[in-house]
Amino acid sequence: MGKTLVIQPVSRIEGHAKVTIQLNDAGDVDDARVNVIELRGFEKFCVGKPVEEMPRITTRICGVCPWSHHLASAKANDAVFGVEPAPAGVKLRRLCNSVAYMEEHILHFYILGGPDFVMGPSAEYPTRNVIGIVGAVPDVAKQVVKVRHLCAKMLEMIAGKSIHPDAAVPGGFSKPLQKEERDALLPMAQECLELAKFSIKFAKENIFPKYLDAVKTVGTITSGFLGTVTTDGALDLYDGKLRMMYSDGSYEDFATPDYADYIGEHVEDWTYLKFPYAKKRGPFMLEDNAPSLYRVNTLARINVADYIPTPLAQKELEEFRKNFGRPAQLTLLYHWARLIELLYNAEMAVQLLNDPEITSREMRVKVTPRAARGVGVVEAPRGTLIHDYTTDDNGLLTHVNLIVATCQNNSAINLSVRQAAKALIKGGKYDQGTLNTVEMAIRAYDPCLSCATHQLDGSIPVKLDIVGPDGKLIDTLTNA
Amino acid sequence: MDVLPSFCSSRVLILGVGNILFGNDGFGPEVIDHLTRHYVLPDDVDILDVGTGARKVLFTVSLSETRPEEIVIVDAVDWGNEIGSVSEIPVESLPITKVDDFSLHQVPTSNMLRELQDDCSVKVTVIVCDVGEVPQMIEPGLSSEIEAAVSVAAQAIAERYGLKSSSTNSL
Repeated sequence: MGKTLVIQPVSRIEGHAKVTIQLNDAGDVDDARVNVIELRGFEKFCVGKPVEEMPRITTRICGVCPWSHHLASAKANDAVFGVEPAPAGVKLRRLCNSVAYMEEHILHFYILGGPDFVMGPSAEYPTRNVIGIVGAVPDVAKQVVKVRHLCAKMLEMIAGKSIHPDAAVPGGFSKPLQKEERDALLPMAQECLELAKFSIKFAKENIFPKYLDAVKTVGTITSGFLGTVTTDGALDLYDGKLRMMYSDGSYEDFATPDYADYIGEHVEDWTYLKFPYAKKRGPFMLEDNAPSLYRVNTLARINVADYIPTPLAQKELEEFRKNFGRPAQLTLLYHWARLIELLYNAEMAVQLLNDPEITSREMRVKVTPRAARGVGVVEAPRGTLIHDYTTDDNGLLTHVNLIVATCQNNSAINLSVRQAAKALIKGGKYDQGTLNTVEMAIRAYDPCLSCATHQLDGSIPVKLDIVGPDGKLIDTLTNA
Repeated sequence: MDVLPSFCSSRVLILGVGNILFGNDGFGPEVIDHLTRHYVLPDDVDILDVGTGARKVLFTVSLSETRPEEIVIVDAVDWGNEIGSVSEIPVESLPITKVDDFSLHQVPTSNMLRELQDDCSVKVTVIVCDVGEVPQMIEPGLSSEIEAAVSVAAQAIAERYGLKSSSTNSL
């Protein structure tokens, strides 16, 4: 008799998702689906509003990565108004982006994804959480806490506030950075850099070797990758062209306004969340190694970049490529790539704060409303984020399209969960460790599901429902 | 320099939780907005509209050595009570069996709040307004019942935590 396993919701990722695992009569996995509710009605809500309000409104979509929406929206505004933002304004935006990235990557590695590694996937729920981490590695936890505090404080100092930011404006940045503020920020950024250096060393020596088997087996799929690079192919998280790299390593570069020529959006009847795919290699197929399948987020960016323009992160990239090739495909390598990006952002923050122009008073240029289309793209911590606006002569919005990062990994998350479930559940046998390991395949992508749902309840323990073919509940397991 | 975000060192931290894009789900942020506009805060009380970002603040607090004595969560729920009714729920009163279906929007669940209280010695107070169903599509703005409830909740919070009215015409 076939059974359906439902893991709802997945604990410790940002948001709310349901995982359904369908077993066949032999108790093996037939299929697995990750179901997410999409944010609906946003375009309708925005049409008619002044475009310059968007950088403020969009931070309300997601409290987890407000800076990414804020900056993508500000960039789309620059394009709509047809201006090049002031250089100092761009540097301040980049600085905020790097600090917000550090805060996010530290949160994910040590707190959201970290417990899987530090505590082990089979650990009981009460210890496989934040407090568990503190107990297991108190010295590390203390430093992690301090640096997270530093990041929040830095954003407050640069932008006025870290939650619901409003400092990026069309044409630049609204708040100048005072020289004394820069002088105070620099040692803070240097302390972040020290933690970034420590983190990757610590992980390479103490964590990754222990779980190399899991890295090689959990959620592995083969796909293409999408990310942003500079004109000469360097990693860039704030600006550049988009690069779609296919699984054989070949790639196409394209300007951000042309994204719709390269990215298609497929709809399935069992989920509201669309499935973006590489349409030049289409059609859409929810299959491992499908030609049109691509992924975003840390591993994608590390793969598509020819090099990283900061020395320490570049050194790590070279070692990473020596071990795993290019493009690297193993899903749990997202964690490793995340630590390389943490290092890059810390180096960037120090570099930007040492740039004399960052304290310039010329942080914004004047803008005038006009009818135009503008596309703003940034690399959110979770992947490529696209804001596409069209305005009328008065600068009022007539069309809005957003493609959020987690949506772009929708296919990959589904496929990785299916792969993990098939490998781990045989003959109807499973336990809590198995289920947690299936969840690891999702957490590697660091999905932010609160872009897709307003009910965020991310740390409810895993609940497993076993349902028979007649729909009757046979058994429930929970790690509450 | 003190690197702690200021909210960690306040005695009482009041968080308005919810998404203003989804109708009455914006109850919590609106209470904070109301308090900001109509009341003066004592030095040891902080209020924050955390929108959908409550987890970040609570993670930061839970991992900090300096923490507020009390955290007050202000949020919307759909528990089938009278629409607009405001009530207080001490976190310890939530039965374990409620962990799975506790529908506090945008809050990192009752078990994290319990951890804050049990493991971090922070008193957690939850003030909720029953708002009924929140829209499935974006539709900002509170209904009239919930707008009225915002004033009621704000006044109750002000009385308990010593916020003074900033204007005689404020309420």
